[in-house]
Amino acid sequence: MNYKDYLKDHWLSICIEALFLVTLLIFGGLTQIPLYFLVITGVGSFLLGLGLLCWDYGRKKEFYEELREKVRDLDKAYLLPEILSEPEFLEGRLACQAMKEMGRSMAERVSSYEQKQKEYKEYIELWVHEIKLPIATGKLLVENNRQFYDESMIEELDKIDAYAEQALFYARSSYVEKDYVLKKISLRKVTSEVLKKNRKLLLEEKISIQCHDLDVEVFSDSKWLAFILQQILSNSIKYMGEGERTLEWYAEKGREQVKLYLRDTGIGISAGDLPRIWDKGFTGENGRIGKKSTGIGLYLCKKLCEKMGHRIEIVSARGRGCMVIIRFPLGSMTEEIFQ
Amino acid sequence: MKLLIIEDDDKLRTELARFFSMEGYETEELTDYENLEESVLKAHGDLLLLDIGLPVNDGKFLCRSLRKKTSLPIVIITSQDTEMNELLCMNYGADDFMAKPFNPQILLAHVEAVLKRTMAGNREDDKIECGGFWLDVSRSTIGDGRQEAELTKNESRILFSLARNRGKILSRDQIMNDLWDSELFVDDNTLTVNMTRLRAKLELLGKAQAIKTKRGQGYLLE
Repeated sequence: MNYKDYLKDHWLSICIEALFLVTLLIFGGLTQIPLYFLVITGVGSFLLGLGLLCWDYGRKKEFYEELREKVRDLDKAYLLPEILSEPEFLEGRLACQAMKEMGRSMAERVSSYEQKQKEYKEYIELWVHEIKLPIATGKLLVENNRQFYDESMIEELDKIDAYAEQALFYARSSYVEKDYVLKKISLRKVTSEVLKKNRKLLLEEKISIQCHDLDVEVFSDSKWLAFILQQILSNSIKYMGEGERTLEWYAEKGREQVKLYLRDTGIGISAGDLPRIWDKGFTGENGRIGKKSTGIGLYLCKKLCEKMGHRIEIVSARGRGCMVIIRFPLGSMTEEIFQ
Repeated sequence: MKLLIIEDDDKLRTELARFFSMEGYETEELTDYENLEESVLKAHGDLLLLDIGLPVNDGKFLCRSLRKKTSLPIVIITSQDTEMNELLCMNYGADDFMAKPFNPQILLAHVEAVLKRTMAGNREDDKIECGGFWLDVSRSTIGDGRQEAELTKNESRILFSLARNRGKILSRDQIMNDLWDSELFVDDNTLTVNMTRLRAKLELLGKAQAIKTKRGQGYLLE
């Protein structure tokens, strides 16, 4: 707010006052009131009007300037009413109260949605928790009754398990509160757990595995990381293609970060698709060549990594394989925080 | 080996018991949820498979109170597969943690590993007799007192599996599983190559015929 705007806003009252003053002076002149009296009255009321305007401008300017600055600087603009100091003039007070009221009602609404989301997430957790029991029993039934079932039954059960797990992590990924535990874990342990879990598929697909330099410790949630690795491994297997079929997993420890490289010799991702691979539901060219693809896996990887403070990126070119890099921060800072 | 099983889902529990008895374990299912602690102590098992979500008392508390009284190895099986839960269970004194749905073979491997770890006096020897020569696991060599040959990690592990099952036929799949369990991720071709190299090294000791190939069945160390 500047004085020009302020004057423009008050043009009507200024005009009326001026008109009134002029009429008064003309009327004074006609009724032979002494000139000095008219001059004093005229100058006096002009100064009085100006003074009043200036005073009013001054106290409002302070309030509105504060308002403007805070809206600009706050990263969550809806928190404005919480930090705004209430002005002494009526309009400002009214506006302030209205804003506070508004903020309160919005907070209530937001928290009711958060509550709903939390309940939904808890339900999904519960559901996944329940579905795992029959899957576990099913796997044992197959194992104990080899004469009736074959491997393909196990494969189907594994698929159900994988989909249930994905639903669980989907619910977790969009949940606002923190529900993971970052602790020191060995990359070798997590990676070999994931590889072991996929042993059958990897052997069937005749993929040769090279793991090296994985004896590095990082701060992460082992279950979440295992899920992320599982998604990437599934992609590697799914899009392995012809020719060399190799999977190379290794880590590199830098001063400030640990980089985990997950390389495959698959069909790769075309340059056009690359920028959008992390988008939800994006399947791209590879999704169209007949392989089943939901566009959820990588989206979840990205979200879960972001939540845990890791960075994930993909380097790839069509026909030249894929390299996924996960960076775990490892500064002197994290050492201190976690000890 | 006697395995105690506590799991409130009847079907899963009976299947677990069946699975482990087929693997040669003696099993006992404990279902008196009111007095689990006493029944565990009375049963005198060698290992306890424990579910967390139990009707009367939480499995975690049972684990904690058992740990105060006995050193019985405890493997927890649960479907709440979170880091927090695992940390809690380990803090309460569990020896291992398996998430449902587990691969039965992997569960078996974990149970065996825990038993091996906890059984005092049952430690595996560094030197294993293979019939006329020895495998030294810690140094990864084979020798017969006069000569010695160095083995690679893979070769040593293959010979180790065969030696542990001496006199029995091991299928290629079984050997492969064993290698994978020890984090040696070999494929079919690599196994063939390693087998050939291992035999070449055995030949140095004059034991070329020690590992026999049983066509269509696997390998055998006599």
